[in-house]
Amino acid sequence: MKHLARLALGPSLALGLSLAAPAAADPGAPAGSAPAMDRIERAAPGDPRSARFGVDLGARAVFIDNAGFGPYSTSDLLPGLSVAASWVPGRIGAVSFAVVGEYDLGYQSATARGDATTLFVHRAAVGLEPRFRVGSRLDLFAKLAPGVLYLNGQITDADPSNPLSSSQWTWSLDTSGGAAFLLLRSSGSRHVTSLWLVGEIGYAFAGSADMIFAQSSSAGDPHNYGSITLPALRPAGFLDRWAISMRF
Amino acid sequence: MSTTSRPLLALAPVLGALLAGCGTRDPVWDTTPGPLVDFGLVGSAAILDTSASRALMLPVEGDLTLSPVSLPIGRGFATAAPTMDGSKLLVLTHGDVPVRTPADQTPGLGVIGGGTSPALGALYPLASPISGLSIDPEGAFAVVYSSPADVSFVENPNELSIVDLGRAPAADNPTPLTLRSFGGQPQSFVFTPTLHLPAGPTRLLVVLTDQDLGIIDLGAPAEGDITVELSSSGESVTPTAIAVTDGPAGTTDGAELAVLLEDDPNIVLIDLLPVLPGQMVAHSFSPTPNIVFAGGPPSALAFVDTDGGQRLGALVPSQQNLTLLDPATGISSTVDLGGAFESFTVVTAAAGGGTNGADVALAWSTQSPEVAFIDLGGAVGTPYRAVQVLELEQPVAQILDVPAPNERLKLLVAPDGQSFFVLDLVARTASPIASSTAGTVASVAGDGQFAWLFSPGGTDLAQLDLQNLHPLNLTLDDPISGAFDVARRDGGRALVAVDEDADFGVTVLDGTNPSLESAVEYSAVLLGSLR
Repeated sequence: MKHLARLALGPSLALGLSLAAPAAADPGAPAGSAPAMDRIERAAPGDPRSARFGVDLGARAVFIDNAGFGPYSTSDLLPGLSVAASWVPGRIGAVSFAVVGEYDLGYQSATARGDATTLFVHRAAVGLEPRFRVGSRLDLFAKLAPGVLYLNGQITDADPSNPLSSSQWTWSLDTSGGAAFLLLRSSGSRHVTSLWLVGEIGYAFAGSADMIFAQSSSAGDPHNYGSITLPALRPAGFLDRWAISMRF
Repeated sequence: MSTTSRPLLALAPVLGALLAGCGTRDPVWDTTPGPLVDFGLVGSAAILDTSASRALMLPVEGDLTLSPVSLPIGRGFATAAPTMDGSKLLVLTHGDVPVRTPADQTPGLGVIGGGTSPALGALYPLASPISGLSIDPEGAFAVVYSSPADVSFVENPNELSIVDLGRAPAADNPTPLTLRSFGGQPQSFVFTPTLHLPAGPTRLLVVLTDQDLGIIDLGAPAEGDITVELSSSGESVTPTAIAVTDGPAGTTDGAELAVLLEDDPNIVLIDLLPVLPGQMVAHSFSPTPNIVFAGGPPSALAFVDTDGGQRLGALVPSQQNLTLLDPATGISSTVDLGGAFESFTVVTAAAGGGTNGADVALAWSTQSPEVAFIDLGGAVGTPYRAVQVLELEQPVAQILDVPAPNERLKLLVAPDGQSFFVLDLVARTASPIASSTAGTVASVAGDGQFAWLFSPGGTDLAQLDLQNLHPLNLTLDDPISGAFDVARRDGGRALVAVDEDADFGVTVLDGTNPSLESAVEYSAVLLGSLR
């Protein structure tokens, strides 16, 4: 029941568990003591789909069709770095279920009416990802990943030493699907390490954040700074993501 | 499909997305702010952000924070001006020139409420993209006319649009009309107070052209103008100013205009008389001109009450006197002023009243460092006792009125912008106020308690308490291009200091007890409140 217990701990532990991947794999457990889900069907030893953990490194782009994005970008594109970790607690037939933890850092910059602007969008999410085996090297998957967004904007005007900044939280929900293509796999051992190319498209829902900018007043600074309000930003839109995923 | 091409399939969405990442950002973010025009209104500062086609209104909260309101003004900004009481801002726009699609904007005159909760008012459509705007001092009417800045292929310089600001836009509002011209073109406009004419009380718009005068009844502008030729002998004369009187109270045939002519010792008096039976005219009054001689070219005119009755006062710098003309008889008397004063104004109420109910006038000069109080209660009978001259250190370029409760004061501004005088009309004293910087700009707060002085482009600002004349000096972080005293939303007052430099900053100070400790500073204001 060890694996079920881990599952019950919830998504918040997925990332930590995946970082401890080799130790958590429980290599010495006899077949007769496998957890219930594993007993339904277990991938054959040496099958890359027997991997229970994965880490991804890639890029994610969201196409934000929202007026609030205008000050920070000359296009609709919010590109960013994407990292993820996954844990597969079990599988049923050709379908495996992964709990995914994701972190993305999106960045854009532009000038708005002559002032330099930057926008960082941090996203942390935990999702559920069923994976469907459709070929010896190809998986399809769908994903639902609710999360939070932390938006950090900055405007640098005539006083670059004290730019205006805005930090806001809002919610996000990624609904996506994609394919994973097996690139490489290790051979000859019971526990297979494999390398996958993952492509994913979908729609990122997000809440709206009021972008209220002000200069920061440090200790001893006698100034009182007022704030200006830029258009509210809803960083929602179609997304795509691609990554290299190592599964073990 | 080959094995090696499969990874490319996974990349396809990325590549496609990159190609599709074309921008839909609002073009306003690519504009550079400017040219900027700013005004101080009753309850907010107004910044016309013309490249964004908006008015950014800046009302102030009790804690000195701004609550910006962005109001669209339309494209093709031409000019703008506030009403004299600061309650409205009128913005004239050309729209899209030329108009090509139904979505393009047409010329119009927009009204913006300038209180502590600014809002768009009416938008009056106009027929032509012209740029001249003249506003009634009472804020009831506006005239849009062709200005020298207008360079259309074909223009009618005598075409006007009269806007009744008290009525909503309608088929007859604005009223377009073309002045009946004998070759003249409009130069300036004068809105009269209500005159009691034979057909009833009404207001007139007097159009001063470069050679004659047009009179339009604002109660019936569609009737067009009555053109009054000012020269019967064919010589060229140019009207430069007028004075107006309604005549004795209770009469309807005493209204009169006096027309000042450029470099001409003659004054044209125009009586607005009843229409005679059988007279074929479209209007309810008949302008009847007469010429009176002032003894020299006058520089200013005003109807005044004297100990001898109502007179037309004409300031004649070449004679160093004030000529008092009896409009009924043309008989004149003079008051020796002892100096070449160029301007004068009636200050009777502010000065505490005149002798025997007559007026008190204040005369000043841009050349001579003195002002004169003229007591018109003795101007006809004892003119030698009528004048009191007050010596100053500098001549006077501008006189600023002070609202109640200090309406007895006037703030005099010297041409160099360094010397100022607080003139007490009751005590008849002139207290000097000095600035260390030439070109210092002064304004008077709406509550009449303080004056504000700043040096454009500098960081120095001063509040002058008009009760005790104590100056409070402040140095802001940013250069000041405009300083506007406005009413706050909590009923207090605030000073909004605007910096039109690169980052367009605003500093808000308490209008009564200004201090840098409580001041609130804003940067990049023109990035804010855009939709």
